[in-house]
Amino acid sequence: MNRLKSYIVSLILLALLLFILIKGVKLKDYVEVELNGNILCLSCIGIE
Amino acid sequence: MHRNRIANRIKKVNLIRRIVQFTSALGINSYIPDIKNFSIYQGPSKSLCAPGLNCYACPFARTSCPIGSLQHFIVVRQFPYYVLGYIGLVGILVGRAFCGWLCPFGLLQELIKKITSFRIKIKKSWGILKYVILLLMIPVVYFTYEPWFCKLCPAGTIEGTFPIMLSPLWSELSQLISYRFFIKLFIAIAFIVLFVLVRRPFCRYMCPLGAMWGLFNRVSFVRMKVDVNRCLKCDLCQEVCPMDIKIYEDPNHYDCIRCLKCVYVCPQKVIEVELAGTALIKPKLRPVAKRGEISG
Repeated sequence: MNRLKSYIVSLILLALLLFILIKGVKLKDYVEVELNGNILCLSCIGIE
Repeated sequence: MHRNRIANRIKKVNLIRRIVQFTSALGINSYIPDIKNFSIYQGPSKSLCAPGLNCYACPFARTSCPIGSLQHFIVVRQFPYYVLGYIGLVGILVGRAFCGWLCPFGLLQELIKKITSFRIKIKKSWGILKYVILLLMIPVVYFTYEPWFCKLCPAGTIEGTFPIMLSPLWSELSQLISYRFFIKLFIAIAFIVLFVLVRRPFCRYMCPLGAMWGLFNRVSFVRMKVDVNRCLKCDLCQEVCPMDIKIYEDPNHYDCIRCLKCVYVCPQKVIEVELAGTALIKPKLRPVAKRGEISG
Protein backbone atom coordinates (compact mmCIF):
# COMPACT_ATOMS: atom_id res chain seq x y z
CA MET A 1 0.00 0.00 0.00
CA ASN A 2 2.84 2.36 0.95
CA ARG A 3 4.63 1.50 -2.28
CA LEU A 4 1.49 2.24 -4.25
CA LYS A 5 1.18 5.59 -2.48
CA SER A 6 4.80 6.46 -3.23
CA TYR A 7 4.34 5.65 -6.92
CA ILE A 8 1.21 7.80 -7.00
CA VAL A 9 3.32 10.63 -5.55
CA SER A 10 5.92 9.91 -8.27
CA LEU A 11 3.25 10.11 -10.97
CA ILE A 12 1.96 13.43 -9.64
CA LEU A 13 5.53 14.79 -9.52
CA LEU A 14 6.16 13.51 -13.05
CA ALA A 15 3.11 15.33 -14.37
CA LEU A 16 4.09 18.52 -12.54
CA LEU A 17 7.67 18.43 -13.79
CA LEU A 18 6.58 17.67 -17.34
CA PHE A 19 4.31 20.71 -17.15
CA ILE A 20 7.19 22.89 -15.90
CA LEU A 21 9.52 21.59 -18.63
CA ILE A 22 6.96 22.13 -21.40
CA LYS A 23 6.23 25.61 -20.07
CA GLY A 24 9.96 26.40 -20.14
CA VAL A 25 10.36 25.13 -23.69
CA LYS A 26 7.23 27.00 -24.87
CA LEU A 27 8.53 30.23 -23.33
CA LYS A 28 11.82 29.59 -25.10
CA ASP A 29 13.48 30.78 -21.91
CA TYR A 30 16.10 28.10 -21.95
CA VAL A 31 19.67 29.24 -21.97
CA GLU A 32 20.61 31.73 -24.61
CA VAL A 33 24.12 31.88 -25.94
CA GLU A 34 24.86 35.46 -25.14
CA LEU A 35 28.02 35.50 -23.16
CA ASN A 36 30.84 37.89 -23.72
CA GLY A 37 30.98 38.76 -27.36
CA ASN A 38 29.75 35.31 -28.33
CA ILE A 39 33.04 33.78 -27.32
CA LEU A 40 33.19 32.41 -23.81
CA CYS A 41 31.69 32.28 -20.37
CA LEU A 42 34.50 34.06 -18.56
CA SER A 43 33.21 33.08 -15.11
CA CYS A 44 33.54 29.43 -16.05
CA ILE A 45 37.20 29.79 -16.96
CA GLY A 46 37.99 31.97 -13.97
CA ILE A 47 38.49 35.34 -15.64
CA GLU A 48 36.63 38.49 -14.68
CA MET B 1 36.41 -20.17 -9.32
CA HIS B 2 33.59 -18.29 -7.60
CA ARG B 3 35.77 -15.24 -7.26
CA ASN B 4 36.56 -15.27 -10.99
CA ARG B 5 32.93 -15.63 -11.90
CA ILE B 6 31.91 -12.62 -9.80
CA ALA B 7 34.91 -10.61 -11.01
CA ASN B 8 33.89 -11.37 -14.62
CA ARG B 9 30.36 -10.19 -13.98
CA ILE B 10 31.69 -6.97 -12.41
CA LYS B 11 33.96 -6.47 -15.43
CA LYS B 12 31.02 -6.95 -17.77
CA VAL B 13 28.78 -4.41 -16.05
CA ASN B 14 31.73 -2.04 -15.74
CA LEU B 15 32.51 -2.38 -19.45
CA ILE B 16 28.91 -1.61 -20.42
CA ARG B 17 28.89 1.40 -18.10
CA ARG B 18 32.23 2.66 -19.44
CA ILE B 19 30.95 2.41 -23.03
CA VAL B 20 27.84 4.41 -22.07
CA GLN B 21 29.92 6.95 -20.11
CA PHE B 22 32.41 7.47 -22.96
CA THR B 23 29.62 7.69 -25.55
CA SER B 24 27.92 10.35 -23.43
CA ALA B 25 31.13 12.31 -22.75
CA LEU B 26 32.19 12.24 -26.41
CA GLY B 27 28.68 13.01 -27.65
CA ILE B 28 28.35 16.05 -25.38
CA ASN B 29 31.86 17.21 -26.29
CA SER B 30 31.85 16.42 -29.99
CA TYR B 31 32.38 19.93 -31.35
CA ILE B 32 35.70 20.55 -33.04
CA PRO B 33 36.57 24.25 -32.78
CA ASP B 34 38.18 26.07 -35.65
CA ILE B 35 41.80 26.56 -34.63
CA LYS B 36 42.27 29.89 -36.45
CA ASN B 37 39.06 31.64 -35.41
CA PHE B 38 38.75 29.93 -32.05
CA SER B 39 35.29 30.05 -30.48
CA ILE B 40 33.06 27.74 -28.48
CA TYR B 41 30.06 26.00 -30.06
CA GLN B 42 26.96 28.20 -30.22
CA GLY B 43 24.52 26.06 -32.19
CA PRO B 44 20.96 25.10 -31.19
CA SER B 45 21.93 22.23 -28.85
CA LYS B 46 23.85 24.72 -26.65
CA SER B 47 20.43 25.81 -25.39
CA LEU B 48 19.92 22.35 -23.91
CA CYS B 49 21.24 21.04 -20.60
CA ALA B 50 23.87 18.31 -20.49
CA PRO B 51 23.02 15.02 -18.73
CA GLY B 52 25.55 15.82 -16.01
CA LEU B 53 28.13 18.41 -15.07
CA ASN B 54 29.83 19.54 -18.28
CA CYS B 55 31.11 23.09 -18.52
CA TYR B 56 29.50 25.51 -20.96
CA ALA B 57 32.95 27.00 -21.63
CA CYS B 58 34.51 23.70 -22.70
CA PRO B 59 35.59 24.33 -26.32
CA PHE B 60 34.15 20.96 -27.35
CA ALA B 61 30.81 21.21 -25.51
CA ARG B 62 27.60 21.08 -27.52
CA THR B 63 25.36 21.57 -24.45
CA SER B 64 25.13 23.76 -21.36
CA CYS B 65 25.81 22.82 -17.75
CA PRO B 66 22.52 22.53 -15.81
CA ILE B 67 24.03 24.28 -12.76
CA GLY B 68 25.48 27.07 -14.91
CA SER B 69 22.10 27.46 -16.62
CA LEU B 70 20.28 27.56 -13.28
CA GLN B 71 22.57 30.36 -12.07
CA HIS B 72 22.14 32.18 -15.39
CA PHE B 73 18.36 32.32 -14.85
CA ILE B 74 18.78 33.45 -11.24
CA VAL B 75 21.09 36.26 -12.41
CA VAL B 76 18.70 37.42 -15.16
CA ARG B 77 15.72 37.14 -12.75
CA GLN B 78 13.75 34.60 -14.76
CA PHE B 79 12.10 31.57 -13.23
CA PRO B 80 14.11 28.61 -14.55
CA TYR B 81 11.18 26.54 -15.82
CA TYR B 82 13.20 24.65 -18.39
CA VAL B 83 16.21 23.88 -16.14
CA LEU B 84 14.13 22.85 -13.12
CA GLY B 85 11.79 20.85 -15.37
CA TYR B 86 14.74 19.05 -16.92
CA ILE B 87 16.52 18.32 -13.61
CA GLY B 88 13.26 17.23 -11.97
CA LEU B 89 12.15 15.04 -14.85
CA VAL B 90 15.47 13.18 -14.93
CA GLY B 91 15.32 12.84 -11.14
CA ILE B 92 11.78 11.49 -11.04
CA LEU B 93 12.49 8.97 -13.80
CA VAL B 94 15.88 7.56 -12.80
CA GLY B 95 17.04 9.37 -9.64
CA ARG B 96 20.81 9.87 -9.64
CA ALA B 97 21.47 7.33 -12.43
CA PHE B 98 22.69 10.05 -14.83
CA CYS B 99 25.59 10.67 -12.38
CA GLY B 100 26.67 7.06 -12.68
CA TRP B 101 26.07 6.52 -16.39
CA LEU B 102 26.18 9.81 -18.30
CA CYS B 103 28.02 12.53 -16.37
CA PRO B 104 31.39 13.34 -18.02
CA PHE B 105 32.81 14.81 -14.80
CA GLY B 106 31.92 11.62 -12.92
CA LEU B 107 33.73 9.60 -15.59
CA LEU B 108 36.79 11.83 -15.27
CA GLN B 109 36.90 11.28 -11.50
CA GLU B 110 36.60 7.51 -11.91
CA LEU B 111 39.38 7.43 -14.50
CA ILE B 112 41.75 9.52 -12.35
CA LYS B 113 41.00 7.30 -9.32
CA LYS B 114 42.37 4.36 -11.32
CA ILE B 115 45.91 5.74 -10.83
CA THR B 116 46.08 4.10 -7.42
CA SER B 117 43.99 1.64 -5.42
CA PHE B 118 44.97 3.49 -2.22
CA ARG B 119 42.06 5.46 -0.89
CA ILE B 120 41.21 7.78 1.94
CA LYS B 121 37.87 7.38 3.66
CA ILE B 122 36.04 10.57 4.52
CA LYS B 123 33.16 10.68 6.99
CA LYS B 124 29.85 10.12 5.22
CA SER B 125 28.28 12.97 7.17
CA TRP B 126 30.28 15.36 4.96
CA GLY B 127 27.86 14.40 2.19
CA ILE B 128 25.53 17.04 3.63
CA LEU B 129 27.99 19.66 2.33
CA LYS B 130 26.60 19.49 -1.20
CA TYR B 131 23.16 20.42 0.14
CA VAL B 132 24.66 23.33 2.06
CA ILE B 133 26.34 24.46 -1.19
CA LEU B 134 23.05 24.12 -3.07
CA LEU B 135 21.13 26.08 -0.44
CA LEU B 136 23.78 28.80 -0.23
CA MET B 137 24.28 29.05 -3.99
CA ILE B 138 20.76 30.25 -4.75
CA PRO B 139 20.63 33.36 -2.46
CA VAL B 140 24.30 34.21 -3.07
CA VAL B 141 23.82 34.19 -6.85
CA TYR B 142 20.53 36.06 -6.50
CA PHE B 143 21.92 38.90 -4.39
CA THR B 144 25.33 39.27 -6.04
CA TYR B 145 24.18 38.83 -9.67
CA GLU B 146 27.21 36.58 -10.18
CA PRO B 147 27.34 32.85 -10.98
CA TRP B 148 29.51 32.07 -7.96
CA PHE B 149 29.47 28.33 -8.31
CA CYS B 150 30.89 28.64 -11.85
CA LYS B 151 33.54 31.04 -10.59
CA LEU B 152 34.87 28.34 -8.24
CA CYS B 153 33.82 25.10 -9.98
CA PRO B 154 36.72 22.71 -10.70
CA ALA B 155 34.80 21.23 -13.65
CA GLY B 156 35.00 24.63 -15.37
CA THR B 157 38.74 24.80 -14.82
CA ILE B 158 39.43 21.25 -15.99
CA GLU B 159 36.99 21.17 -18.92
CA GLY B 160 37.04 24.86 -19.86
CA THR B 161 40.14 26.70 -18.66
CA PHE B 162 42.77 24.03 -19.34
CA PRO B 163 41.80 23.45 -23.02
CA ILE B 164 41.45 27.21 -23.59
CA MET B 165 44.92 27.76 -22.09
CA LEU B 166 46.23 25.68 -24.99
CA SER B 167 44.31 27.70 -27.59
CA PRO B 168 45.42 30.85 -29.48
CA LEU B 169 42.81 32.80 -27.50
CA TRP B 170 44.76 32.45 -24.27
CA SER B 171 47.38 35.10 -25.04
CA GLU B 172 44.57 37.69 -25.11
CA LEU B 173 42.60 36.26 -22.20
CA SER B 174 45.61 35.85 -19.92
CA GLN B 175 45.87 39.63 -19.68
CA LEU B 176 42.55 39.66 -17.83
CA ILE B 177 43.67 37.30 -15.08
CA SER B 178 43.07 38.40 -11.48
CA TYR B 179 43.65 36.69 -8.11
CA ARG B 180 40.31 34.89 -8.56
CA PHE B 181 41.79 32.91 -11.42
CA PHE B 182 44.46 31.53 -9.09
CA ILE B 183 41.84 30.63 -6.46
CA LYS B 184 39.94 28.69 -9.13
CA LEU B 185 43.13 27.05 -10.31
CA PHE B 186 44.05 26.06 -6.75
CA ILE B 187 40.60 24.53 -6.16
CA ALA B 188 40.87 22.51 -9.38
CA ILE B 189 44.36 21.21 -8.52
CA ALA B 190 43.22 20.32 -4.99
CA PHE B 191 40.32 18.38 -6.47
CA ILE B 192 42.54 16.57 -8.97
CA VAL B 193 44.67 15.40 -6.02
CA LEU B 194 41.47 14.35 -4.22
CA PHE B 195 40.31 12.44 -7.31
CA VAL B 196 43.40 10.25 -6.94
CA LEU B 197 42.82 9.57 -3.25
CA VAL B 198 39.03 9.55 -2.79
CA ARG B 199 36.30 7.92 -4.85
CA ARG B 200 34.24 10.55 -6.72
CA PRO B 201 34.81 13.27 -4.06
CA PHE B 202 33.15 16.03 -6.06
CA CYS B 203 29.97 13.97 -6.55
CA ARG B 204 29.84 12.96 -2.90
CA TYR B 205 30.61 16.26 -1.21
CA MET B 206 30.24 19.16 -3.63
CA CYS B 207 27.96 18.62 -6.61
CA PRO B 208 24.68 20.58 -6.34
CA LEU B 209 23.32 18.77 -9.41
CA GLY B 210 23.92 15.39 -7.79
CA ALA B 211 22.38 16.78 -4.60
CA MET B 212 19.19 17.65 -6.48
CA TRP B 213 18.98 14.32 -8.33
CA GLY B 214 19.75 12.48 -5.07
CA LEU B 215 16.62 13.92 -3.48
CA PHE B 216 14.57 12.01 -6.07
CA ASN B 217 16.17 8.61 -5.38
CA ARG B 218 13.37 7.60 -3.00
CA VAL B 219 10.52 8.64 -5.28
CA SER B 220 11.95 7.93 -8.74
CA PHE B 221 10.40 5.29 -11.00
CA VAL B 222 13.70 3.40 -11.09
CA ARG B 223 14.55 2.24 -7.56
CA MET B 224 16.85 -0.19 -5.82
CA LYS B 225 15.45 -2.91 -3.57
CA VAL B 226 17.30 -5.07 -1.04
CA ASP B 227 16.01 -8.23 0.59
CA VAL B 228 17.50 -7.51 4.02
CA ASN B 229 16.44 -10.89 5.44
CA ARG B 230 18.77 -12.73 3.05
CA CYS B 231 21.58 -10.12 3.19
CA LEU B 232 24.84 -11.40 4.77
CA LYS B 233 26.08 -7.86 5.46
CA CYS B 234 29.42 -8.90 3.99
CA ASP B 235 29.96 -5.30 2.77
CA LEU B 236 31.12 -6.39 -0.70
CA CYS B 237 28.59 -3.85 -2.00
CA GLN B 238 30.40 -1.05 -0.17
CA GLU B 239 33.78 -2.32 -1.34
CA VAL B 240 32.87 -1.86 -5.02
CA CYS B 241 30.60 1.15 -4.60
CA PRO B 242 32.01 4.37 -6.13
CA MET B 243 30.02 6.34 -3.56
CA ASP B 244 31.03 4.14 -0.60
CA ILE B 245 27.47 3.17 0.35
CA LYS B 246 26.24 0.13 2.26
CA ILE B 247 23.19 -0.39 0.11
CA TYR B 248 21.49 -2.74 2.59
CA GLU B 249 21.30 0.13 5.10
CA ASP B 250 19.38 2.33 2.66
CA PRO B 251 18.66 0.96 -0.86
CA ASN B 252 17.69 4.39 -2.17
CA HIS B 253 20.33 6.44 -0.38
CA TYR B 254 20.61 10.00 -1.72
CA ASP B 255 24.18 9.30 -2.85
CA CYS B 256 23.40 6.12 -4.85
CA ILE B 257 24.25 6.70 -8.51
CA ARG B 258 22.71 3.40 -9.66
CA CYS B 259 25.94 2.14 -11.23
CA LEU B 260 24.68 -1.41 -10.54
CA LYS B 261 28.04 -2.75 -9.37
CA CYS B 262 26.52 -3.88 -6.07
CA VAL B 263 23.72 -5.71 -7.88
CA TYR B 264 26.24 -7.99 -9.59
CA VAL B 265 28.79 -8.29 -6.79
CA CYS B 266 26.28 -9.37 -4.14
CA PRO B 267 26.91 -13.06 -3.35
CA GLN B 268 23.32 -13.56 -2.16
CA LYS B 269 21.78 -11.62 -5.05
CA VAL B 270 19.57 -9.71 -2.67
CA ILE B 271 19.80 -6.42 -4.61
CA GLU B 272 17.50 -5.75 -7.53
CA VAL B 273 16.49 -2.81 -9.67
CA GLU B 274 12.81 -1.99 -9.98
CA LEU B 275 10.96 0.01 -12.56
CA ALA B 276 7.64 1.26 -11.21
CA GLY B 277 7.43 -1.64 -8.77
CA THR B 278 8.34 -4.46 -11.16
CA ALA B 279 11.77 -6.12 -11.19
CA LEU B 280 13.90 -4.71 -14.01
CA ILE B 281 17.22 -6.36 -13.10
CA LYS B 282 17.19 -9.36 -10.77
CA PRO B 283 20.36 -11.48 -10.94
CA LYS B 284 20.15 -15.20 -10.19
CA LEU B 285 21.67 -16.59 -7.00
CA ARG B 286 25.30 -17.68 -7.39
CA PRO B 287 27.83 -19.07 -4.86
CA VAL B 288 29.25 -16.89 -2.08
CA ALA B 289 32.46 -14.80 -2.28
CA LYS B 290 34.30 -13.43 0.73
CA ARG B 291 35.09 -9.83 1.57
CA GLY B 292 38.48 -8.76 0.16
CA GLU B 293 38.29 -11.11 -2.82
CA ILE B 294 36.78 -8.55 -5.14
CA SER B 295 38.00 -5.09 -5.95
CA GLY B 296 36.14 -2.30 -7.76
